[in-house]
Amino acid sequence: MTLHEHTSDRRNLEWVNAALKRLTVDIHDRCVGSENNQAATTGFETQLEDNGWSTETRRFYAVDRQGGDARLEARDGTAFEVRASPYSPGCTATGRLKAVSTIEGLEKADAVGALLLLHGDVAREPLMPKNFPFFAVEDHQRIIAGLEGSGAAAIITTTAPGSVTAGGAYPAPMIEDGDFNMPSVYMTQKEGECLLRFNGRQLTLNSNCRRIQSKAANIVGRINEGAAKRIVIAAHIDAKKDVPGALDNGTGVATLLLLSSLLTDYAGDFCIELVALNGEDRYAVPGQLARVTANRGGFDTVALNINIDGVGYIDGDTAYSFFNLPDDMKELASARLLGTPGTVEGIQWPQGDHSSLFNQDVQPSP
Amino acid sequence: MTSNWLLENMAMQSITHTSDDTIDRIGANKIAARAVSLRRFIEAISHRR
Repeated sequence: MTLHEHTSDRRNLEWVNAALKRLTVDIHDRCVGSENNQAATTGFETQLEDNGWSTETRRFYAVDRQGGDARLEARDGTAFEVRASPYSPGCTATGRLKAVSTIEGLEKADAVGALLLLHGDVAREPLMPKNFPFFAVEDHQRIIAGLEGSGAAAIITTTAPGSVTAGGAYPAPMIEDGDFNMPSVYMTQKEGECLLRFNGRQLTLNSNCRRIQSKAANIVGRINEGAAKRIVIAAHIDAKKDVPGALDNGTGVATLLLLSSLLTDYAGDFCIELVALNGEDRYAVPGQLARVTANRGGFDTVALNINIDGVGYIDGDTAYSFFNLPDDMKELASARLLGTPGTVEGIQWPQGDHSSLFNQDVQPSP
Repeated sequence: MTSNWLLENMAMQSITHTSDDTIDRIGANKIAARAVSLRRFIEAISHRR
């Protein structure tokens, strides 16, 4: 290693550490629509401009939320530990408990005015939001329709641990959807088993969750803007509420910020776009939708899309997943990306923001 | 792809969306290395003919 390379390595490390600290310690909660989320996007924009990139801010409306305390109590004073589902309306509701464990049972249930408990198979995984723009799960749509047609006063869900789509959070909300307007709360599977013994009895549910109208933004940085084709490198800058979001996805944003420094003197054939997307960990992925809308009719100018998420986990390799790469590009990717220590080719995993351009016939990687 | 990677991916998934997703779980050197290799990859595809 030359002295120049050693100095560069040290500088790169300092850059990454500073970016991670700023995003995950100083700012911390980057939930879409929050003030901290806006601080994160503003800071990203400033850093790109400081490195000589032109920037564009694309704002959109987003719903933030407050509260989340909830209480469920039977007439005999027995209380159950519940949490308000994120983005649920708050409520004060008294009704008999009606438990259902299958979609068919839900569709046939007499639940008008009831507190509807979803457990077992019908509650095996979190629901895709009802208006998710990129794909729909038929069973989930049936459950949502069944709930909305049930006449229930409120919904209680018990989701089993280990759902892939819930990440590591437990208990995980089965419903996290600002477009779904029935009050709902969630609890552990164990607490749900205790609650089942009260099926048919009167309970009262109070929840103080409320929605707040807000705004958020995607930030796009560009260099070599006159080029006909572009390489887009994106990472989502938001995180779940009240979590640091270091791996998911402070790391992706830190990678973009370091690239903004490393590519300052880029003089190749492409326009390079660095994009901080807002809303991958968000029910209706508003930033991804805004990005697709802003690029409608222009996706044919994207030569390559690279999405970065969850890179740099301390105990593991980095996986690159390739989608529809031309042979020559795949060959270069194998040499330049997989040819470095600590990397591995991963499975194709078109999920969340990983698929928003895949659906537009653009080639995302990794 | 290796079976190790699948296990590591599961370990990663277990901290996402939780308060355990903290800076001490991140290897800054790995991020820096990925950024450097991405730059080299972009330079390579930019100059292919």
